[in-house]
Amino acid sequence: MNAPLAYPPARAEPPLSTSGSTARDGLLRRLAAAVRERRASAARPLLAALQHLAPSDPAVLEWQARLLALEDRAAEALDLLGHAALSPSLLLCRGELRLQVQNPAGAAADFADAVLAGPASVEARALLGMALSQLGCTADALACLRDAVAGAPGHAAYWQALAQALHTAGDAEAAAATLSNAIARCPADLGLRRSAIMLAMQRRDHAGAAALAELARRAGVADACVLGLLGHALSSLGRHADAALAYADARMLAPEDPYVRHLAAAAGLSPDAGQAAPEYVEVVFDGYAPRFDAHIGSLGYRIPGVLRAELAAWDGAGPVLDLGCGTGLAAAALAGLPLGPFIGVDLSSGMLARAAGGRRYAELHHAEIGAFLTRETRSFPLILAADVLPYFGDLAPLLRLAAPRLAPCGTMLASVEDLGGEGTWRLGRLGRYQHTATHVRDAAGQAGLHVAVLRPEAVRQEGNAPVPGLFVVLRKEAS
Amino acid sequence: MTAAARVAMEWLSRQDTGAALAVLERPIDSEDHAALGMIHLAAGRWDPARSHLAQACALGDAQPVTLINLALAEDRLSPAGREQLRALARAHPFWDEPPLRLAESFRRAGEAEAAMAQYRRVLDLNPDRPEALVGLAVLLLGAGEPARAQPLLLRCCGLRPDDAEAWDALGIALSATGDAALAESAFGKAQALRPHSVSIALRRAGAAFAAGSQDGELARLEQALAADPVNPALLTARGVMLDRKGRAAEAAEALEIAAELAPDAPVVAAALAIALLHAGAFAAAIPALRRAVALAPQDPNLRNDLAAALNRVHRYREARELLQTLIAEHGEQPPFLCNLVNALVSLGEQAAGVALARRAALLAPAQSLPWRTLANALVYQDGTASAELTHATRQAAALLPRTLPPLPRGAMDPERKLRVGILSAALRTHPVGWLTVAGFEALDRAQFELVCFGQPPSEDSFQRRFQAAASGWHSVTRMSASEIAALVRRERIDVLIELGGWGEQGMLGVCAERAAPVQIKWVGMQSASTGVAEIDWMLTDRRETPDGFEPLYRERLLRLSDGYACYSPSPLAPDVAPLPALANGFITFGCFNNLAKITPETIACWAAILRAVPDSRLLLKAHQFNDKATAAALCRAFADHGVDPLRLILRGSSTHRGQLLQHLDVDVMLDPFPYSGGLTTCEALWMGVPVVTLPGQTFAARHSASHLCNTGLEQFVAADMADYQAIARRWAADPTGLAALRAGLRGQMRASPLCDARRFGASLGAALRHAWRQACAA
Repeated sequence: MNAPLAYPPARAEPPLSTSGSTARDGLLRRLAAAVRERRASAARPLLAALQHLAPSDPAVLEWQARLLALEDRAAEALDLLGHAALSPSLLLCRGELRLQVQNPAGAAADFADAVLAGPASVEARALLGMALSQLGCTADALACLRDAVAGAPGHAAYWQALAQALHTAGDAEAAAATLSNAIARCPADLGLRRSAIMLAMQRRDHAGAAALAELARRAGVADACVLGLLGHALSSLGRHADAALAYADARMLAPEDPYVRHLAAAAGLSPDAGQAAPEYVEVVFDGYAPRFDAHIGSLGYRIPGVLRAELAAWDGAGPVLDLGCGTGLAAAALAGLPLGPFIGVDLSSGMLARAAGGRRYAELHHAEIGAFLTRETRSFPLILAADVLPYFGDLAPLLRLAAPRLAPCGTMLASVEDLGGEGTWRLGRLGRYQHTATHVRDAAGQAGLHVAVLRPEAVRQEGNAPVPGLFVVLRKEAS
Repeated sequence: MTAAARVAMEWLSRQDTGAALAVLERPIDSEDHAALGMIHLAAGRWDPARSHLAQACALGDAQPVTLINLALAEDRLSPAGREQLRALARAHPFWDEPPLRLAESFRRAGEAEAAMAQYRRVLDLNPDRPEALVGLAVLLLGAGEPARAQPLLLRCCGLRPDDAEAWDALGIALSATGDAALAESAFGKAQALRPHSVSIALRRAGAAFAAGSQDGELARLEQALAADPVNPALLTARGVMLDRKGRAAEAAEALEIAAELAPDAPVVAAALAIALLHAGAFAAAIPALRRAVALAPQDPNLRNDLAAALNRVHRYREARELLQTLIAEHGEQPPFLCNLVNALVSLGEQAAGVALARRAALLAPAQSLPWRTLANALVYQDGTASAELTHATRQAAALLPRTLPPLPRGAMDPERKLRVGILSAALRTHPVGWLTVAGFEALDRAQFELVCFGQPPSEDSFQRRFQAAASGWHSVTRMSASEIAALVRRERIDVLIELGGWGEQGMLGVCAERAAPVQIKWVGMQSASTGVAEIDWMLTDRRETPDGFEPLYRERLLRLSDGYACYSPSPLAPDVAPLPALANGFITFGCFNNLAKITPETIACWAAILRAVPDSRLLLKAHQFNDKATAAALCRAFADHGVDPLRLILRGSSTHRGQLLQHLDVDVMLDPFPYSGGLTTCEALWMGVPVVTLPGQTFAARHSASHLCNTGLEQFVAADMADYQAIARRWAADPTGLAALRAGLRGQMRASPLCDARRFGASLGAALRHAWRQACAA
């Protein structure tokens, strides 16, 4: 007998109460936080839920675009936003994306529209200043950024942008003063501290850099970068014991950082790996690239000149392999001689970009030179290794890799920093290896290369004193 | 049936009782009243239901359906309803509905036997009645008879393949008999029918874990979420699975979405709160737990979890109050008592804590937790007898599970390179990190290879130091002790160093499973002997455990040549400043240890020093002083000893940098006893402040003595209480000497064995090699 009963006997679970609009607000808040905190994997499911609940919500669209940018998908984000007229908030978003894809003109247009739509927006003005600075419109950029820091003096990123714009405009002194002013207003901001110290280092003001870093340390800044720079500055001032303490502190904060590890090893704090980590070299020289030539010139770097003198009488040779070519100083020094084409290899993409700008190289390879020599199959009548061997401890393995790449009767020209005396090599306190003449001879012998020349040559000036070096010419026998 | 009644029934079938009622605004006859009664019955409004159904009967409706609905309404309101159902059963002996409704009435009332009898009667009349099949099966499950429930449920699922509850119950029955894969499949059917059921989704996840198919289930959930990203059931199941896999932070992210979408679901709120607890996000866990408790106030475990979280964020007084209420309502359950012990000890009520821990051990002598809690409380208490401490640790140790087969003896070459396992959930910025990592870093890599068994990856700088020093890292969070031990065995670890002790996250259970041929206890709740027979050695020094202390330890004593720890000074530390007494004109004593260490005897001793040194102050800094009532209680304790509370400076918690900076205000530190400072003492010394200590008998009572002697400050180690007071008075009278000591102390410490990592590494390496050679020779 089946009766129409009033309620089902089986107990059903009560339905979950979901409130779309309340959930939307909470989810959107969480999505914004996840994107700002750069937690892309946390943001994705939040976005999926929001797209389901509020598919045409402009706020969701904005955070979707920002999430794509965070995932290095700025181009997709731009497609998403399209070219239509947007709200001020979306204009800023699109402008930031355009900056990210190296479109400062488009970014400036968006930021300018955002300024027009909301003239009181400090953020829009600051972003417009940043875009204009990239476009080289220095005066307008500075005006915008000065407005921005006046409007939001506690916003470190605006100060940072103003200092950067001043530096780009060639006024390093004003940039330093701006950073100093900014640090006073935003003492907890790490970026400002780092920028100020690095700016001082770039200006070769090691005492100033050390003072800024010390000031940061005393203010409770515990940051591996600041402490590493402090160590570097102190080393450059000859205060090696103090530098070692700074490196020790830096290593505690960033034990895996190759830059810190290498300098800690250089300070004798940890065992030496026998070769500067490629990451260390890359970090150092990428940071160095924009000012490398000027700096090197100011240091009285002599090796390119020595190379030219050695090769001036040559009838001609090529191709020439330039190991650790950097910005291309060696190729520049050899200009006009019947040598070439030049093939450059370096770890620093920043250096290679500048070398490419000089148009002296037929090929440029972004690689660690040991790895390059291992995979390269061609042979070269001339190999240059100017100021690159100081990043290697034991030279024998490297020379053993180079020897097969020398053509029969080929020549390799190289420089090292002279350790003097007997022994082999050691890691110097500035993170560069020094070698004895004996070790150079032994390593060449192990590689089957004949030492044609091995003579003292100062490689550069350091603290107004020449840094002793060795210039070496190695020859491969005819096969 | 009238037209209105028919329309109303149509609305009712669509579950719209409002519309159904509107249609029958003016009931005319018995059919309208009968329909209205049904509508109210469906809405759970028993009184109007009874009234209308009675009216229908009065108007002549004698249909069995009306009569049974009237009985159902009556059953909710009075015992007479059950009698009416019985009468109907008698009047219609071949109708299965009355016994079914009687069964439900009994089931609701918790009368399982009577309910089962009625369900069986239904099945006698109608073997295919699904409600009776499920109802009886559920009761059999409750009675612990899943195997008898299974055929009923299988029959029901066959009859009604779209019955989610039947599939769900079948899954439960299969889980109970260990048929996890089949259970997972049954829950899968249930979930397909009821995709928004959180409990079914969670049971499916649980079955997947039991069947070993958790990775597949997690992938399936992710795929399902791609299609239905706002399904709280899927999100909750995914979150719970991630949490169970030790990925608590990701779990919390998934569960936060679920909680936004289903803010009133207790299961979701509880799962989020628990994941936040597991992720160590205590500040966020507390509001989440409060929300979960508000949604499920009947769940005592959630309130206990809330109390534990309050303990973790140092809100001990709130935790104490909550636990006292919980115990009053639910009785003296050991987990509640143990959390209350922790709260009491942390509030400086060591004796009350110990008494309660003894009570917990008495109530549950076969559980490890109460003994562990008692052992942890005893080391804080004045005058603890070593026999009781030894008994408590050995009881706790004896109760640890030992499930793995004996560890096979592998190749035991005494001189070969050793694989050293580091076992702790605190390989991060934590006393374990500050006091061990520099030593591990300095071990000779040619002799020792390190493998960490710790917490999930993070950006913590100490964790990164451990990672950089080790060749491997295993995240073992949420793994059982036997699973971790099996992993350690697979990794062929020669020497395992445990760094958690009897602490909340300690891993002595892993050692009890004999994970490695040599097992050593080091820093990390290293307060006394662990009592664990499988721990071979206690890493120590001659000041922590002088000759003659051996009987206090179940472990053999592996004494390092200098101190037992290697301190990594903080890069955050400010420069040492001049002695404050020079500017103040009075001496400021200090203690930055937490209140749990400040016993009545310590207070009496410090009060005597304050009375003996005119104008002196005592600066006490502990997170407990964030709470004004706790601070006031301490002031009263000093006042009882004749010390004006104005001479006390009580400060609450701060940042680590803030804590270091506050040493600039202190001239001499006074160590508490019997539980001395450890890292706190190292930090005071680094900040140029010497520490007067009175070493006792336990390991915890001698940390400061070890650190002071290693820094060359033996003169601050007292022989007895009178000596302790005399040392404090002597230095208080010599600000010039203190100032000179302060100025040079950081350099002295840097050069001392306490901070000389290279020297320590060599000593540690020699000790590990010695332990290994001994094992080889055994």
